[in-house]
Amino acid sequence: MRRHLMPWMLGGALLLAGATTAEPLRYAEDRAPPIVNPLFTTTMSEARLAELVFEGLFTDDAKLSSTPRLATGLDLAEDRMSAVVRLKPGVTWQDGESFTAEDVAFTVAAMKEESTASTERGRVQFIQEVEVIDDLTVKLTFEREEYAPEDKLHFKVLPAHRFEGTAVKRSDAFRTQPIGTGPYRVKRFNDDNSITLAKFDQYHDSTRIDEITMREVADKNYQSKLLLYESLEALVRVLPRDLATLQADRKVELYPYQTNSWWYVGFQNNRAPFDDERVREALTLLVDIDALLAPIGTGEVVSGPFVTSSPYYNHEVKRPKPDARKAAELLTAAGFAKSGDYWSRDGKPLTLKLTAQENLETAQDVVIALQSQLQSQGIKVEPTFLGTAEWKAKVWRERDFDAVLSQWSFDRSEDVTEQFHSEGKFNFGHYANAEVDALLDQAKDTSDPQAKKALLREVHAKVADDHPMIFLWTLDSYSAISRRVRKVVIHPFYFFTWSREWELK
Amino acid sequence: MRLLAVLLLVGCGSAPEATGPTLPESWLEAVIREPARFEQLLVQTPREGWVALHAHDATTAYDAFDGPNPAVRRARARAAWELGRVHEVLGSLHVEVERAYHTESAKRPGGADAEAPAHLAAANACEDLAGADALGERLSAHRAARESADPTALLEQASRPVQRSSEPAAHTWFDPCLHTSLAHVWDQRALVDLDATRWSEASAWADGELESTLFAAWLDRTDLRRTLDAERSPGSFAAMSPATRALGLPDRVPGDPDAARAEVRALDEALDTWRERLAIEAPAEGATLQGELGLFARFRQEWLLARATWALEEGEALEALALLEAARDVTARDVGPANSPRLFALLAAARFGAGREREALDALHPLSEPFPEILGLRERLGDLTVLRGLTRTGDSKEN
Repeated sequence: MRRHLMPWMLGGALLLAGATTAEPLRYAEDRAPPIVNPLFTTTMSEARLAELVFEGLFTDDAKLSSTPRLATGLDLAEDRMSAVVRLKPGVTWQDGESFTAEDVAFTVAAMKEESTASTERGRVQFIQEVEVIDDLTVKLTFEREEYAPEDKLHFKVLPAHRFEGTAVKRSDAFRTQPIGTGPYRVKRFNDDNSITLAKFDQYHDSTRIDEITMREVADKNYQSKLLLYESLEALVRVLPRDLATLQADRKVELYPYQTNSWWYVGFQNNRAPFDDERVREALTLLVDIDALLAPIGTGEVVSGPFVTSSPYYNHEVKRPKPDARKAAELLTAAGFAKSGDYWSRDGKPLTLKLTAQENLETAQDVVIALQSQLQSQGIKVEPTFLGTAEWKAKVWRERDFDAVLSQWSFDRSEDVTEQFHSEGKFNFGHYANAEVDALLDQAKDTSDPQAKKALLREVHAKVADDHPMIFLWTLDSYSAISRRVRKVVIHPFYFFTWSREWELK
Repeated sequence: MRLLAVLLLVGCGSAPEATGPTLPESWLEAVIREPARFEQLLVQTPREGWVALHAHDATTAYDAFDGPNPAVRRARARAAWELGRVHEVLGSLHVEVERAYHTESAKRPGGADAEAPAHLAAANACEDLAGADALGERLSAHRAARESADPTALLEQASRPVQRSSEPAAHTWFDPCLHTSLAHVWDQRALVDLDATRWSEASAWADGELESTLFAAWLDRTDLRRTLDAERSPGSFAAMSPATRALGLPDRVPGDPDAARAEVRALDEALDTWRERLAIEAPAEGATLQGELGLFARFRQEWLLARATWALEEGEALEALALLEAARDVTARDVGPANSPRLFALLAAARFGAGREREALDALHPLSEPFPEILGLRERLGDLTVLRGLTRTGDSKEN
């Protein structure tokens, strides 16, 4: 990415000299989304981009309560088993077609369609049936009683007329020619992987910034420099080590962007020798997590699948501390013996093939430090860094790995079902514990907040005990935005939800 | 501890003659221009108290400032005042959380929490405890604490719920009035040391020297006297200080976060100018003190907290949030010299007021260690967060 730096800096200098007028708001992502289709959104960068282009029937207002967006309201049936949703008239898609109830019906059907394999399917499972009443009215029938269905109708609606059927593929042309009803339309995908979005002139609401550019800046070390050189207006996530510099800069505002994220090393639980809990625990005990975190920045080590401030975090579960002696006992019990520098079994050294994403912030630093720590304890580590497409293929689809280093981010529901239920879509490591499944199911079903807390704290304890992952840390996360951008309020998860209110001075 | 190290450097040389301040007489000027006055304060009053107060450890400071000397009593009142403010914010937040829980509970799938009305009634009675029957036996502990100004018994019970039931599920309900009572206790202690029964009568505070103003949001004794006379709520003391406004701050625009940020920018520019001037004019020891103790940063944060409290008192949570996010030193995640407990308490209150109860939990988290008694508030806020999310479908993504 160094090759891009100089022209961008030059661009910043020209802007300072007042050489241009209609300026875009430029924000940086570590990785440009390779496709723009809300049916297949798997990363935060995709979710943020989708927030600019697409809309749901309802969205969050500034107090995070549901408020109509493509809908004008809904009437919930007395038995709570159905609702009639009234749609906003006069809404057009970015290709000029009218938005209608057929689009809602299509979207739900496409998300539910098995062959679509949408990562968002879970978000419409509560809908049993969709009936189009007329162009602007749709009736939803639910699987069971719903008390506030508007809270679940935030999924992005897609234009039926742009697809040939409800069996949608990731490779469909829509991925690079997305059409939404949102405030911005994708104007072009640029050669440098940036994406230019232009204000949608027929948007059904007001928008104040004419153009937004998503820049891919793979080297996170450069992102803050670009902001300081005024070659960017927004950094979605600031590297913790850059926080002091950015806070001291008078041209930048920092905004907390805590997405309830935690880092982990996830094992492939059905692949030897990581199918043996003793091996997983031993590896956990051989890692000095504090030492891994220190160079990354300010954060807090977690003992399970929630961030420490979460109501579900089980503070009774103590984070594992390095313990080489206990690790040795566990490895010995699992049939390994230390011969020479390495632990081996059946003549084969214990080797961890660790896969990480090329562009995950500071992942390389973590992998190298982890490799060094484990190798000094007799474990071979073979790191592999994958690009986005390879990652999705290897990890998401084929689930072909020993261990992955990655990060999960959660909205305020902090629902870990997809990650830890044996049938969870994001349970790439094939973790399976019938008790955890039952607890997750009960937690989903209960309407008692204290019961839900208790159930998920138990999930925390049981998952931590099974060691399907080495739980690492949650980082303090901030966005940095130029002070030229006014009226900024960022959504705690989707970031751009209220960007139509933003102004660029 | 940094303060202790710096103290060794103080008093090793004499100050060159300064050209005279053109900015307000203040504790900042006093310490930086005349470090001998600072050293004198540390001789006359327990220095470990100032070390603790600088580290935002008001509990330790309170204990350290022990003695009948009026200056020591004023210093102790400062520590008690600080603790009173932290608990005042937390107390008010806990009551608001109970109210929100009651409202949300009525919409809950499966019916409202049957106990919520009694819990709400208790929370609404926290100020005078009349009608707080749901507190049961805890009620007498509250009354005793308020009468004796001794929080020990209340604090000993703080981690235990007032009610615990097992059917239909394990339910706990923590004392919503704990922090309100603790605020009463600490304010009472402060006022006793100031020979007053209310803040507007606390003229002894403004009669003091550096002990009345060091590390404070008010720049000098006049500022303090004016704010006491104005009968402002204690948390927003100095928020409207003419002395600070005279630094060149724009007028407040209520409810406008961008205007609040502009105010912060103006404050920063003014403090930069002031600091640079003092760096030239002050003796080396004073410059060392400023650099090592971050005196301007301290004043900045204290004043922004007062200013944010003012906004919060008027229900302007987003305005308060803009000020508080600017006040926070993001490089330090815990309570310490860079960030005060009051900052985190106010952040939690502002986030809650802005509808961000989950993020309010993030703000409360750093208080868990220095104030373990916030367990009950965290649990109830957690209940509310879960309650509000019950009808949602969760979303998670990589990275």
